[in-house]
Amino acid sequence: MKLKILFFPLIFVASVSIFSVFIWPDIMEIIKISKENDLAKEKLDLILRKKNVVRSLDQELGMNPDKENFVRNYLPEGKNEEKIINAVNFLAASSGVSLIDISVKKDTINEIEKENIPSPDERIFNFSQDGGEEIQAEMPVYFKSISFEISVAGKYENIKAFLSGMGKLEAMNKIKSASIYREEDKTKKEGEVTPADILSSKILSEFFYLEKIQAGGNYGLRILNSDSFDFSQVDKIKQFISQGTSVLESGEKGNNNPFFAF
Amino acid sequence: MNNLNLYQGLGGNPENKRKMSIIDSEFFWSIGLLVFVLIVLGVTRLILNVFENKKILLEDRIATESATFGGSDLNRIVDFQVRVNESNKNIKNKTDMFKVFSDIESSMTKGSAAVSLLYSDERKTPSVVETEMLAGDFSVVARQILGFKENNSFKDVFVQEISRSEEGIKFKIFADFK
Repeated sequence: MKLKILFFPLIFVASVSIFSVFIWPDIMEIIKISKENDLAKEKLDLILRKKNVVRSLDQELGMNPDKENFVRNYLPEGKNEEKIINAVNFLAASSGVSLIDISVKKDTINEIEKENIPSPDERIFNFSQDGGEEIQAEMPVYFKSISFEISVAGKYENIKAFLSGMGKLEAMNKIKSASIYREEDKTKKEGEVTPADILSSKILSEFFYLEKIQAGGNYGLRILNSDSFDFSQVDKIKQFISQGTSVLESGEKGNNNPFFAF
Repeated sequence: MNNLNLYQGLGGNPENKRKMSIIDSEFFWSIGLLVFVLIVLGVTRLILNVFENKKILLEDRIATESATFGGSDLNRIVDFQVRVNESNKNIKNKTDMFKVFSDIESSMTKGSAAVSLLYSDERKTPSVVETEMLAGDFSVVARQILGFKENNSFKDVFVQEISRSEEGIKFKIFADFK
């Protein structure tokens, strides 16, 4: 009889213990996993959406090869010294200045931009993150540049036109310094007169190049927010580069004796 | 002695009957509660198992989709867009050399002539302009300094190295180009 009276409290205590030790942690775990699953679904949707964006952008780029080539030409993957020399020579001729000298300086590497770059681990969804929002990342851009020191001679207005044209060359560059001065001609013979309006100019300009970018499967890139390219940005570059240039071709090739020009 | 009644059955007095009924109902509720708790435990375990399996499936799917994301298509797109962005940035930040020299021209005053002009963007921002000038007298030098100071394209204008020579008064004007 007394045992029967004790039975209910015992069972009650046992039930409460089972609930607090097993059931409650399970409920908490269910809630946690449910939230994680919701986040994972969002992430999966995001990846699938970004995959569609990549497909769409790739098709669009494939339909505009001229624009792609133009941009890759303006900011090339390599140094392109031959193109630069050819363009500067063409510019000098069209501006009416004499190209005295072009010398190449050593390369420099400039880190222009590095912000919020997801590490490769972040490519796979991180369950500890709150919210499934998109990572707004930019690709790190490591420019390299090759510096040219250019010497020209000519009239002031022609040198001015040459300097102005330098900025508009079909190769991304930046004029670091430019000087215009009157130089005494030490080689001139007695009685020979150097025209008073002929000036010399020395220009130091950096020409940039950017090695091929590896996106590394980052789907959080800001570039992938839109499913179409803004080609008006390419047109802006085209409009800026008003300067024409001669087409560089190697021409006739082959010589049995390299020590004699043919 | 023969009349002793040892039977203590339920059918005793009503007080005892009520007590027994309460005890039986408590027993029933106790067993019921235990069974209910065990059923809840079983259901939560089942749900937890389903959710965990779902999580594993989602993780696998994300890993698979992430692994196949990117490649040459993505590299090509990103490469193109970065080049476009950086080219535009470069154009936007370019100094118009024509404007630099036009501004120097418009600052020139009567009686002075430039010996050399230097534009430099190597060391500091903004870029600097250094002009070596030749003037006939000091009033021209003063007017020439004022000429640069009055031009809105130049700031922090200052003069250095004023010296008289056979050709006239040589001086250098330094200014930041805005």
